Amino acid sequence: MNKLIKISLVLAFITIASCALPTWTRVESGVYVNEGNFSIVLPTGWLKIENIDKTGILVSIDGPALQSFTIKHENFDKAFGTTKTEVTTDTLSYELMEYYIAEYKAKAGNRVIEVESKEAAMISGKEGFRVGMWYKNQGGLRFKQVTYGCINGSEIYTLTYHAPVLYYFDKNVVEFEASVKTFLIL
Amino acid sequence: MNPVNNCIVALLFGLLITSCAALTGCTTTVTAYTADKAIEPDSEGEQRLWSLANKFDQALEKSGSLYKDPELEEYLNNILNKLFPEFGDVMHARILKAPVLNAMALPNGSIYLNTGLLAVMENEAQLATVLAHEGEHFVQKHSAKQREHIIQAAGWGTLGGIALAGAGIPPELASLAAISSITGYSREAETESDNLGYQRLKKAGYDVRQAPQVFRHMIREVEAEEIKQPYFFSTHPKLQKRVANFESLNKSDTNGSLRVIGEKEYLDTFSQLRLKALEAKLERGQYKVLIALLSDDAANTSYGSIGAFLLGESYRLRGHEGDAELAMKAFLSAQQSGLNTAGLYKGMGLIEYKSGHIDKAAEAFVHYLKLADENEPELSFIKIYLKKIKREQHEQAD
Repeated sequence: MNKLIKISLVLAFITIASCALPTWTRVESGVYVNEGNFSIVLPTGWLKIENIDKTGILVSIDGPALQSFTIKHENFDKAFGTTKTEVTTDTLSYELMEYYIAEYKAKAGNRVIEVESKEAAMISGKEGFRVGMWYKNQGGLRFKQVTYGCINGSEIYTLTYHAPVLYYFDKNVVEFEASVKTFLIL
Repeated sequence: MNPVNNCIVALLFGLLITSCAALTGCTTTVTAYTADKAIEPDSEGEQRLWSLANKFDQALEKSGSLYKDPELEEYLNNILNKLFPEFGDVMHARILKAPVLNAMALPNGSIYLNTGLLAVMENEAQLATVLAHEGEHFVQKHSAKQREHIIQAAGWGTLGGIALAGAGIPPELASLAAISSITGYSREAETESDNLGYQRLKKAGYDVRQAPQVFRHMIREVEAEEIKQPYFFSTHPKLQKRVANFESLNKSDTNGSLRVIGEKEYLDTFSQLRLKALEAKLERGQYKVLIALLSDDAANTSYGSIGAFLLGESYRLRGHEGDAELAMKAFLSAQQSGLNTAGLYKGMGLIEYKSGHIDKAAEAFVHYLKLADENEPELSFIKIYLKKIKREQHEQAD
């Protein structure tokens, strides 16, 4: 009897623990809808995990360390916590990009972040930015990132692709760019 | 630094404390270096710290975090030699690309000065104050004596004082840096270094009246960043007290005015680095720190027209009520001082555009486009804003 109780408790714990952890699911073809927030056509066959940082979604085909495509939407007061930058609905797309880069650099500590491109971009019909950056990790491996960002109401939307330059960045950046074109804020 | 790194740092700090504590008698047996003795570790524990410091030097070298300029390093090391003639062969000063106002002395005699510190020093006497203070940490072997204030130093390190783990420095070495930084040692060690450093300054012929100003720069930065207690300040000699300590030491000094300040030499030598460091602060969103520094008239003069431009940019990006006017005032001051760059007109145009002054915005943006390089990354934004302005102007004309 004692043994049975123990097994039941272990099973209950496993069930509760697995419910609490977000799970990876395969991306099916068609439009992915994040209820009340956005819709997008994600690369079919990739794996997705929802509610990343309680704000969005992460997709990857080989694992997040090798390539990650994240979509986030955060309130103005939460988006730039390190620099404590104040964003308003009047913030220009160019300023939003400056704030995004500043926050990224501030969070990176003394790691040298190089900005290689800054462009105006339309995201879901809204004025936004596209910024390209790179850095080297502790082992000297170079990582590259492309981020699109825009303001919608009192939120900041960002779509980011991040991968090591060696093999992985070029391998999937085209799929990321294709997905961004289908992105719609609901 | 991400949470994982913070955990690793905390863990390794624990190990560092334990290993240091294991060196029983550390505080009772450690004696300062003297000119008549070979400069080398006296015990196994000290040897371990030296070895960790050597690894730290190598890691920094590989990380690309060093600001390498032989001329500037020579300038720093000449000052060190003046201050510590008996230890000149062992001590070596280098510059770290880090926008935060900080410096550190390692147990092997390596001294690192952040670009963020060099950016705000106003003369050689202030720089010498920092070098004398850091040099005394090495001579007095404070890293080996360090015990009870390690945790507070970790707070400083992770709060942005160093954050070297992000620079590709292994966490255990970042921890060493944290305890070795300008504010990382214990209260007693800091006071001892302040007092002995002051004597070195005097002996080397520097104007000791500049010493308190170094800590006033720190106070200004801490206030602007809104860094709150409790952390190391709660047990540390407060910066205000250190200013008072130097002022009281100065009262007994009657020959201050006869000594070297070295303003021109310093500003001439470090002019480029100082401006680059301020730009790095702007790029990391330290608008309040820059406003506090550059709105001080005396400081602003030493940074010239680019300083005025960076002040304008800081106001523009901070975006508080009234900042648009202050930004424009600073931009105009930069313009009057002879600055004529694309960036200046972009800043002016953005302010006017946001304020709804579309004619003035258009004028500034057109000026920007004339001066901007065709590969300027911001071009696409400004062209879009200009197009919108023209559309609006047409609508108004109709």
